[in-house]
Amino acid sequence: MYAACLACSGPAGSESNTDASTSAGTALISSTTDGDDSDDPTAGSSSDTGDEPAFVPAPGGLRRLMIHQYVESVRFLLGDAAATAAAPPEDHSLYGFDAIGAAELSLPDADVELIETSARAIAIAALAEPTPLSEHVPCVLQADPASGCYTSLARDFGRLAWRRTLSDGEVAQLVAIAEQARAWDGEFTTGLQYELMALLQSPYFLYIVEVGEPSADDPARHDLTNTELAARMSFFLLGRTPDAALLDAAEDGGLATKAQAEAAARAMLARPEARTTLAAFYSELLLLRDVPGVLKNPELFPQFNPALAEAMVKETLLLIDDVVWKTDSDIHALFNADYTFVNTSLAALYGVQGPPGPGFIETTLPAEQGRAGLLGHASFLARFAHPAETSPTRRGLFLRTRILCESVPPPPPGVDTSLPPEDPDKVQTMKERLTVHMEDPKCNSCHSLMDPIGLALENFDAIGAFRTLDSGLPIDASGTIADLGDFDGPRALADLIASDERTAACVIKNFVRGTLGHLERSGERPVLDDLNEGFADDGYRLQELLVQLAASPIFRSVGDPK
Amino acid sequence: MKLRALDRRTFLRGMVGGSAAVLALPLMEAMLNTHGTALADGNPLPTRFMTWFFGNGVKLSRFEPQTLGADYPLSEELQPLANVRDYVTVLTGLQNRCEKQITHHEGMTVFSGHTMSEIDQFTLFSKAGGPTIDQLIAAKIGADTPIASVHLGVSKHVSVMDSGTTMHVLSHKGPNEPQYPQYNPQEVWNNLFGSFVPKPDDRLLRVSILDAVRDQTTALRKRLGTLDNQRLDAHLAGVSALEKKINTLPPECTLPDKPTENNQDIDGKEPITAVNDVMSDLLTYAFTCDITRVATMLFHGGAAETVFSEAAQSQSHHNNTHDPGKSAQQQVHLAVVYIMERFASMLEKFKATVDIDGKNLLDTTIVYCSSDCSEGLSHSISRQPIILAGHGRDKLIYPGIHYQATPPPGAAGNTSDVLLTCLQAFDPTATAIGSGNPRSTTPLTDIHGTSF
Repeated sequence: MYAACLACSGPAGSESNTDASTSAGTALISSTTDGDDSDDPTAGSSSDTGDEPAFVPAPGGLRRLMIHQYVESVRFLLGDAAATAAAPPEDHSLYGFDAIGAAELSLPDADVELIETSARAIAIAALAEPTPLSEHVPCVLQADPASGCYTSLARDFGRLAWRRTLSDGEVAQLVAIAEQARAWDGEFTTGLQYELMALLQSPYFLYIVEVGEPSADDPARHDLTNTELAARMSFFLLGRTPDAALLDAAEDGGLATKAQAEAAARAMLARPEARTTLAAFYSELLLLRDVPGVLKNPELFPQFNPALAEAMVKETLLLIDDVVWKTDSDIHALFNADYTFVNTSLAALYGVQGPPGPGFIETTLPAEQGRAGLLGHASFLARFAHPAETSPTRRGLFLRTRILCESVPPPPPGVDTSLPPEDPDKVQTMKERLTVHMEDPKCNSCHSLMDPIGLALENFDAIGAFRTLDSGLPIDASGTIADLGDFDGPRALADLIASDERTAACVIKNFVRGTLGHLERSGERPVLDDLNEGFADDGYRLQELLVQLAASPIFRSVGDPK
Repeated sequence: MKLRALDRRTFLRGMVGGSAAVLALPLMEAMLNTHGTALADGNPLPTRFMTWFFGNGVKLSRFEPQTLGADYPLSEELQPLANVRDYVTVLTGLQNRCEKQITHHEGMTVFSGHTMSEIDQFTLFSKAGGPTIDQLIAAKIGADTPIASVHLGVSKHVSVMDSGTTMHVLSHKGPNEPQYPQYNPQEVWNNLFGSFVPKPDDRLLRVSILDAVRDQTTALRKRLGTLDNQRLDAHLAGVSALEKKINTLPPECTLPDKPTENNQDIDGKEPITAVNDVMSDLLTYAFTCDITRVATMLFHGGAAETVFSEAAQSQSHHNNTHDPGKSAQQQVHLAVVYIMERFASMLEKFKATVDIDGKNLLDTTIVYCSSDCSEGLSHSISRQPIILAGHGRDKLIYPGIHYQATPPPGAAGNTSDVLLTCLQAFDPTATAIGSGNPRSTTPLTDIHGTSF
C-alpha cells in the first residue's frame, strides 16, 4: 500500500513515513475524501447525461465557533478586557483545517466546563468595564432593576451573540436566570453576570447554525436565511459575529441579490477586522502559528529564539499585507516576490542589510541566494524541517498539497517496508541520501512528487539561513519535476509554482476548506470553475476573490443538514 | 478488620509540584464498612484503570525479556521498572490484527480493538474506528465518581505530519468524539480539583444555566442531520457531566495546591520529566481522592516531534527511529529507557500511595501500556509489546509474568485478547471487544488473577 511506500527506509528514512504527508497539506480532493458525494443522489447525476454539471451545495448544519471567532466576537460585543478573559476550548484540526474539525468533531466532555469557566470570566470582565456592553445595551449602566434591562440584554445583546432574533420563550428563560441570580445576592449586576454567562454558554452562541430554507429555484437546495447569510459573511470576512446594522440590513432583504451581497462584502473588507481575519486564515494555512513552537537544536542553531521566530511569522504576514491590502495586486507575488520585509535579526539570518533600529523594512532579496516569496521565507523553511536538519520531503509535500492542492494516487499494495542502506554512516548530502527514495520504484511513486521540490530549497537550512554546502559537500539545487518543468535553483522553482494554474485554483479551494469548513465537493465544481475564471479576469486580486466567493452560490446555499 | 496505622498526612506532604502543602487523607476510613471490605454504602472498593501510551515502539531485541513466566529477568529497556517489577506483566509476541496500514495509526488498534476509520493514505488521515478501552470502562464505572475519565498528555510536540485524530488522541468515544489530552498541569488541576475550591455557592444558578443550555440544545436538535445530532448529544453528555460535578459534594480530602508547572518549553527544551512527575502526582491524588477512576496518558505521540533533550538527545525521537545507523538506533534505545523511567516513576508513586483499605494504588489499579508499533524502524505491528502494571484487586496475575505468544520472529494471537481481559476485570458481562479482524471474544486467561 502507499503506506508501505511511505515507510521506505534508508539513511534518509527520516524523510519517509509521516514526513510524506502533512497536516499542513491535508486537505485534498481524492477518492477517499470526496467520497461523501456518494451519499448525495443528485451529485454528478446530470454529468452522466452530458449536460453542464449541476451545482450541488455542501450539506448544511452546525459549525462550532473557532477560538479566534469566539474571541473576536467577545471583543466586538464586550470589549478588550472581556476578550482577554475569554478562554474557550481548543480548536482541533481535520484535514489540516480547524474549520473542518469545527464542522465535524464533537466536544469532549471536559470542554463543557471550560465553556462555563470562560463564560464566567468574560461576564465578570465585561461588567467590570461595562462601556463596550453599554454601547449595545445602554441600560446596563443604570443599575435599575425596574428598567427591564434583563429583557433588553436578552433581546439586544442576545440577537448579536446568537445572530438572530430570540423568541419570547428564550428571552423569558434568560430573564428568569437573571432574576434568580439577583435574588441570590440582591445585586442588579449579578443578574447581568449570570444572564451573560447563560447567553455565552448557549449552543446558539457556540455553534453557527446554517440550515437555510428551501430554495425557490430548486427544492433540493436550501438558501441560507437572511441572518444566517449575514452571520456567515461576517465570520468569513470579519472573523466575528455580525453587527446590528448588518443584521438589520439582512432582515430587510438587503443581502438578497448578488449585487447586494457584493456591496456588503466590499464594505466589510474596508474594516480593520478584515485584515486580522485574513492574517488568521494565512497563519493557519501556512502553519505560521506553529513557528514560535518549533524545536530547533540549540547547539546547531543558537540564533533561533522566540524573537526570531516571531520575526519570521511577521515577515510572511507583512508580505501578505502588502500584496492584498496595500497594493491590492496579484496574489501570486506571495509565492515569488523578489522583495520582502526584515528586521535586524531576520536580516542577519538572510545576510541582507537590515533596518537601523527596531521594526521592519522592505528589502530586495539578493538574486544569488535565489530566495523568492514564501519559498524563501524562514517561516516556511523552518516550520518544514527537522530540529537539526532540513526535510525536502516535508517542504515538497507542503507546497504540493497546500499551495498546489494536489492529490496523489495511492501506489500499489504490497511494498516491502524495509530498505537497509549499504553504509548508513557515510557522509552524504541530503540529495544523495534521498536518492534511495528516487531510485527505488517502491518509494519513487510518491517521493518523486515531493522530494525534488524540496531539494530545490536545500540552499536554505533548517532555520532558513542561506548555505552552499550540506555536510561539507556542495549543494545542487537544480532539477526537473514532471508536472512543473526544469529549474535551476529556488527562484526558478518559485516562478514555476507561481505560474502554474493549479496555484490560483488552490487559493480558492483553501478558502472553502479553511473558512466554510468542508473539503470542496464535486457538486461545487461548476461554481469553483466560475470563481476561478473571475479570479483570472480580475488579475488574481484576493480582495475581489473574497467578494465574489461571498456572493457565490457556494456561499449562499446549503444542502440537507449533515 | 484493623487497618494499618499510617501517617497519611506525612506521606502526602508536598506531593504536588514539590509544594509544601499538607494534604489530609483522601477517602476516610470511616467510609469503609465494618469489615473494611467494601465502602460503607455497600459499593465495592474502588478499582482504577488507565492507559499509558508512548510513541514509536521499542528495540525488541533489547526490550523483550529472555525467559517466560514469573521471576522473568528484566531486559535492558525494562530495567527502570525494577522497583515495581512484581506488579508488572510483560506481553510479547502478540499480533495486532488491525486491517489497514498507514504507519503508526494501525498501532493504536491495541487500545481499542478497532481498525481506524475514514483513512486517507496521502494525508496520513484517520479517525478512531470505535471506542477505546478506557471509554468502555468509563461507561461502566464512570458514574461512580465526579469525573468519568481524565485525559493527560506530557509532550506537546505531537506529530505535525499526521492528520485526523488517531495519532493525536489516546481516548475516543467514537470516530467523531476524540477526548483530547490536557498537556498543562494547571489545566488538569482545574479540571480535577478546581470545582471543589470553596467559593460562593452558586450551584443552583449554574444548574439553571445548564438547564437552559439543555433546552436550547434539544430544540436545535430537531433541525439538524445525523452527524450534527451526534455532536449535540455529545454536548449534552458534557452538560450532564458538568452538572454531576456541580452537584458533587467536595471530596473528603484537602485539595492539592495548584501546580506551578505549566509545561512551557524553556530555551527550546521541553520539561518532560517535571511535567510527567506533576501529572503523575495529580493522577495519584485524583485516584486516592476518588475524583475519577479512569485515566489516559499520552506520554508522547507516535511520529511526534518530541526531542528527549533531558536524555541528551538533539534529534526528534521519531527521526532517530527512522535512521538505521548504529548511533541513531543507540539513541532510540536510550530514549526507550528514558521513557520507561518516566513510566516507572508514575508506577512508583502509585506503589508508595496508600489506598482507602491500606493497599497501595498498584494493588487497586490496572495500567495498560503500549505504543503504536513494535519498532519504529519497521513500523511493524507484529510483536507489538504490551505492559500491564498493577493487578486491580487481584483481577490480574500477581506477581507479574512475562507472557509470550510465540518466540521471535513472527507473532501470534491477538493483542485485543489482552484488552478484553482488562475490560472483563471491570465489566464481567463483557463478551467481546473491537470489530473486524482485531475483534476478540477470547480473554487471555494466562494473566487472570486470583479474583478474576
